[in-house]
Amino acid sequence: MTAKPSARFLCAHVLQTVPFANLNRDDTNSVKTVQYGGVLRTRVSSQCWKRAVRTDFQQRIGQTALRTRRIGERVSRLLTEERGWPEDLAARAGAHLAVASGIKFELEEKEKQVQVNKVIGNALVYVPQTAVDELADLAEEHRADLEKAKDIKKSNDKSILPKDRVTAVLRTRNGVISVFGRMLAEVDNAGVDGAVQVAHVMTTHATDIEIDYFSAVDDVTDDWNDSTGSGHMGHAEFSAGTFYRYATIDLEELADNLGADTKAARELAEAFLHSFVTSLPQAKKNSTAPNTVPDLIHLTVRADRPLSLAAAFEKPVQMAQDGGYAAASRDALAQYADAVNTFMGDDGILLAGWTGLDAKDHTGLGDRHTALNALVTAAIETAFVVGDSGAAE
Amino acid sequence: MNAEPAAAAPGLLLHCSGPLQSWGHHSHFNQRDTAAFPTRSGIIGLLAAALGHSRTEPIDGLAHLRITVRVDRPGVVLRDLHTVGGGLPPSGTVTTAQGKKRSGDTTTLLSHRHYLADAAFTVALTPSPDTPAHVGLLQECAEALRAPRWPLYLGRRACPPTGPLLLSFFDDALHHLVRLPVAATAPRPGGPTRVVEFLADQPLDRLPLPADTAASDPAEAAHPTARINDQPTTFHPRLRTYQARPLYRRTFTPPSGQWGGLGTDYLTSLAAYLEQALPTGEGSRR
Repeated sequence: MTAKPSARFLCAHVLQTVPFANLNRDDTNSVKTVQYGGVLRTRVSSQCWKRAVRTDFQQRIGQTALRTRRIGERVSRLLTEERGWPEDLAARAGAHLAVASGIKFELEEKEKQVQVNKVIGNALVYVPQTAVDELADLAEEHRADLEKAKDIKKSNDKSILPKDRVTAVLRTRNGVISVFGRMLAEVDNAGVDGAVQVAHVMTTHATDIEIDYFSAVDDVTDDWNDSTGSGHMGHAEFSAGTFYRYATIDLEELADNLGADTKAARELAEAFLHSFVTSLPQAKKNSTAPNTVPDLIHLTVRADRPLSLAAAFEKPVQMAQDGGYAAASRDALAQYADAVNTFMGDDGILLAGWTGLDAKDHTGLGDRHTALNALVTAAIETAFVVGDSGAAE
Repeated sequence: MNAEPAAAAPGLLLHCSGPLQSWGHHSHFNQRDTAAFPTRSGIIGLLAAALGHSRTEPIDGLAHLRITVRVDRPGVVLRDLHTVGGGLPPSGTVTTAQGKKRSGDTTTLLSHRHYLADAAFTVALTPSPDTPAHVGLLQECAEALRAPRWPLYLGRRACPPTGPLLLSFFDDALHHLVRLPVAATAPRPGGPTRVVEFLADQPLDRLPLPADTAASDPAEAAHPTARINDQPTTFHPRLRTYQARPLYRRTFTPPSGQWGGLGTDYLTSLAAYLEQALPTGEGSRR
């Protein structure tokens, strides 16, 4: 019997104040921005924050996925370093494995010399870390054939290894891939639709970009006191503000990606929520140390549809009389949540809850929880409750 | 003078709004563009996702629905830089200004993705005149939009809609498309008047505008102003193809009371409008 989660979507809304920082730069090193509600705001792209979430998530669940064009070389290195293969043979094995994937490839060139067996695929594969070992096992199995085989010297050379078994390894997935998805058109049926949707992050209010002029002192010049010049001058851009972050987990898609393994789905959903709340992009972290935590986390478990509450900030939040945007942003979020639930009906909401620094209540955001753990546990328990049929778990 | 208004046609109204949307219509490789309004393929794709149709399934009836877009806020185009991979073989990368290929360690590709920021659209979905049977399909779509199979997005996955996407099922969708609060703040008193544009795949000369509003010439709205290549034939990942279709335009000046504001203000004016426009019996809000 297939077990399915009893809820469909789990939405996470986070308000987080970040001081003078530049979490995500564009091609000119500027702070990324977006116009919303007629004013310019600071933005962090969804791709950027999602990578921070994924890195944290991988550590949390103790699983890694590998994104690379150099899968063959990676296996070669394992064969020489851990299994005692001679370098030439290992390189040939790696090259034949990469070619068997069916992904078009080139050979690396150094000083106009084609590097034999240095296969670089035209597409990145995205595989569980364990795929490296599995491919190495496959090479061991065919070691005798590989010893007799030719090196890969041209981009139309053929592999002597079984294509179907190599691509079967490339199609494997783990928790990371089931959650975040994979696009790999070059290998049949390797695509995985991600089970999470992450929105671009933006401030709840208008922001200005600060241009920080700096100079670097030359220690020798300074010691000798023989000129006033600095060693280097430049400028960098920063901004500060209260951000609204939103993501949703498609629980049915997640269960489908995991072959209806509800226990795994539950663990991964829980880990994702923790990672989404606590992660922070790392750009310029050493010069700004923007290590804040969210000041409000609102979770909803929904039977009907996911719902972003970004429109709470479509009308930009105004600075409070005594300064600051955080408290006004929390009020705006709660007020909008209340209005939108009245408008659309709240029948689909199985659980709504929040936690944060506020002493006051936010009824629009559901029940107050004293700590993040309690809030996440409540959401997960509602999302994966044993249904009427007793099917879950 | 307007032409004789079109006969009432039932349909759905959608509110397509969010910080970002992106309606690609001739994207290639590293340049991902956006149209200035929701494309037919984008809206039909959104309905297919709500209904749970996989990409390989035929589009069927959805491809025949009429889509009329009201541009509440046109928004601004945002270009986002996205770096891709690195480590591509030199021959697979862009050619430099000197006509050469880059060396192995500097081959990271820059992808430029265009978004429409700060835009809001009200979209009417109505049956095509020759297939009125689509009313059933529209009701199915309304159900699916309330509880979609997959999370919905405005053209790209990172662009979730905010607030209510489905406004309601109406017995006369175009009548309400014209009168529903506009998701924008009112122009400054004494400032220039602002017009709202309609974009459709059918002639707009018979758009049921209120008699006392200023609107562009119906004779012009009866003829297409352009053709756009956004009529999907299939969403199959390997066979994705589009056909051209006509694009009709019309503008009108909303009365001052029709500007609904932003965020919570818009929701409030919307609720007030629906309260008065949908007495029990016609359509259902939820």
